[in-house]
Amino acid sequence: MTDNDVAVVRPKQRSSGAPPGPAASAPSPGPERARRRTGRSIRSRERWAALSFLSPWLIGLLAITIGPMIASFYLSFTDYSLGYGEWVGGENYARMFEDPRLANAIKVTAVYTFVSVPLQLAAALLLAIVLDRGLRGMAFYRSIFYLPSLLGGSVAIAIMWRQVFGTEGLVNQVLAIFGIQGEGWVSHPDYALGTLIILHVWTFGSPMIIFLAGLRQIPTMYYEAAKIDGAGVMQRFVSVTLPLLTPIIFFNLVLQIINSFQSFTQAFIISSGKGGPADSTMFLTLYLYDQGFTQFDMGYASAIAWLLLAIIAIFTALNFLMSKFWVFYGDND
Amino acid sequence: MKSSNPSGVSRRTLAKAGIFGAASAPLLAACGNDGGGGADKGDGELDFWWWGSDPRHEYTQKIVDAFLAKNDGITIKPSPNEFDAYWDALNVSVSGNNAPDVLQQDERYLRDYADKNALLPLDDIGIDLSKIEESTLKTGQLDGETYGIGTGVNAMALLVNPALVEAAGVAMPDDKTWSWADFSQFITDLSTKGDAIGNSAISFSNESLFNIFARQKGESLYTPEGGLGFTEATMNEWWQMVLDLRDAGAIPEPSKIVEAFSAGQDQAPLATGTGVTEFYWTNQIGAIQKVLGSDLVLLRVPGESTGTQPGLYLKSAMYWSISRTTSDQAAAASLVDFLLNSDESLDLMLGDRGVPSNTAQRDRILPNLPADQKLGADFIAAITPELAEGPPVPPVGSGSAADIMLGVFETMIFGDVTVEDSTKSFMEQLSAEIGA
Repeated sequence: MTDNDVAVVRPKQRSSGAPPGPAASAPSPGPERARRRTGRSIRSRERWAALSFLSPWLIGLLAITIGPMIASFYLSFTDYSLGYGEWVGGENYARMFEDPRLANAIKVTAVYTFVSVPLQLAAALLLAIVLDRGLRGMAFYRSIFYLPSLLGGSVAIAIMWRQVFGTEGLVNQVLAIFGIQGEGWVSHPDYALGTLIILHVWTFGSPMIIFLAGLRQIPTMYYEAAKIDGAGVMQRFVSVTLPLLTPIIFFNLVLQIINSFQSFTQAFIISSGKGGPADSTMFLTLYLYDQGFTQFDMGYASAIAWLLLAIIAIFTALNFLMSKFWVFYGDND
Repeated sequence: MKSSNPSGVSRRTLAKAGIFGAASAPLLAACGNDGGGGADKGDGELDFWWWGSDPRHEYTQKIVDAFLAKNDGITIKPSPNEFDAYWDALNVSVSGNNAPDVLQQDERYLRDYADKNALLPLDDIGIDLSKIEESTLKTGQLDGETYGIGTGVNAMALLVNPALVEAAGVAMPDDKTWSWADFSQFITDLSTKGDAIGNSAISFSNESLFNIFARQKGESLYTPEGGLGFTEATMNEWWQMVLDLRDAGAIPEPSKIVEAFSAGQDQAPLATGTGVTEFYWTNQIGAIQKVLGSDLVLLRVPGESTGTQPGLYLKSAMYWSISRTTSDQAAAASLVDFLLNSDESLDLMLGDRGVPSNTAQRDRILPNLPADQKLGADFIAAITPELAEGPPVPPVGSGSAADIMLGVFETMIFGDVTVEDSTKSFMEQLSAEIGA
């Protein structure tokens, strides 16, 4: 065992030294070949070590990600329901074209994503710039602003929001002070989605942290050079900060689009799992859940899951394609 | 530009990795499990599932203990749950072939489960059905086989808070003769003269109440053949009544109706004393009175004597069922038999799962019922002689009727669609679900 450990840690010294280890004790094939063989066995041993260190993750990936993905792909071609299902070919996918509730769910999800993501990123970037000034007690402020990200997806906060934005909730009480008659912000079909978007924008913490890290990476010499050339605050932001931050903006954009396509908890809580009022908060994920767990239609639900994957894949691919035109990798050229 | 990324992995690679991980997550949401399961012979271990409130969980556990004391060699793993969560969990466990051995079922879903072969026919496995009311038994049958045995019966009633009626200075109506127009007038008066809202309007999206309305016109929500049994005109009239009530200020503004609906029974206006009336099933009275802290009065649904026939009917409150994959059929059967027929069980259950379907037990416990359950039992006793034949059993897929009706109702009360389009939308969606 000790020999093996040494072999892994210091492979270079072994080729000339005494020949320990199983590979070298094999019938002598001449010094050149011995070296090559030892190298190969080291590489394979390293591979095994790496694999065994990775194994908890690999087992998890296979058992709870890849396996169910394959199962779900298979199920999407069946009418699986309550333990029984038969192969129905592409019927579930054909059904999508004649399902007005699915079309509505796609629309709701798209509106949610394309309104909330830009707003959220703008908020995150703005706060990151403010926090980048090295204020006293920075860590404190950073934690405070990050807090909503931890809380935003939680059940408790969604329930609280239902109260705060209710017809007799805090928001309307404040509005009443100014003589404004408030609405039921989560119970009126015209406003419920807007309220969810605000809730999403509020969770700007994680993109903000990433922006902060990105801002720190911009060398100060660029700013100094710009200052000497007479650039103002605004011009420095537009000409230095933004271009150098584009990889980070891109990263956040892609990730947040994926995230918001998958939003589930807030809408589930606020509408008691029904996507209401009047399907106005029926996200694709919620509709998938409704079909699978309320209507017993696991086959169709699986097909919707793959539709969601396809939609996300398309937008991600579009993002990567378009990134060529606006993302600036400093190390590229 | 000097990179400060210590891992040496480019940001672009990092982005891709993050994206792959994130993108694969939704697929986990919709996967079932095909593995294992199957019926061994008699291991004496029973999973027993039910839904309900805390008092029900407590006494049901006592019934289980009484059963275990009499039956050596059987162990029971009880799983109480809350109604909505119960159905999610049951769907997952049945799909994964881990179905509970003995379970509570509901009219909305019984046929879906039976149709998917998830339930065991209960006719000849040693459960004594001789004392169970014939009409109740029928409601748990599909193609001549019994898949669920009704625990007891319920009826729909209008629950009224008499103190609030008096405070508004409105006279209590005669529920034997009142029409839907009288009802509209009654709750409009309550809303305009009193502080509380006349009716919280959370039942106008209830398909059972609409079924009563349709039955009073000689129609029905479903036909015996499993199609839709009502005319467009009937449903248009129903929706028009709701809009008229809204415009008269008899019911809350639409946002508040939506809120009241999602708040649940304990937080709904009747229970909090901010609403005067609401339609509920008779076995819900006790729980509502407990939250409200005062007594309620039960009135017949309006229109019982003004239509072509009475629309009220007795509904099985819930059913006992056994999974087809049970690990011990004999033990499961004896548990269901104990729940339905034994003195120990009914002494604890009383009227909580409806007025008992076992007629001998019903006669035995009726005099001993607590006051709140007696209200419901007396109401059922009073209306029983008036009732027309019960509605046909709902077809497979009818479980979605409640959600469809709620969606149509919500869209309509916010003024987005006409009465006619609401009816059309409901009929189209429900037809698609029940395959009619």
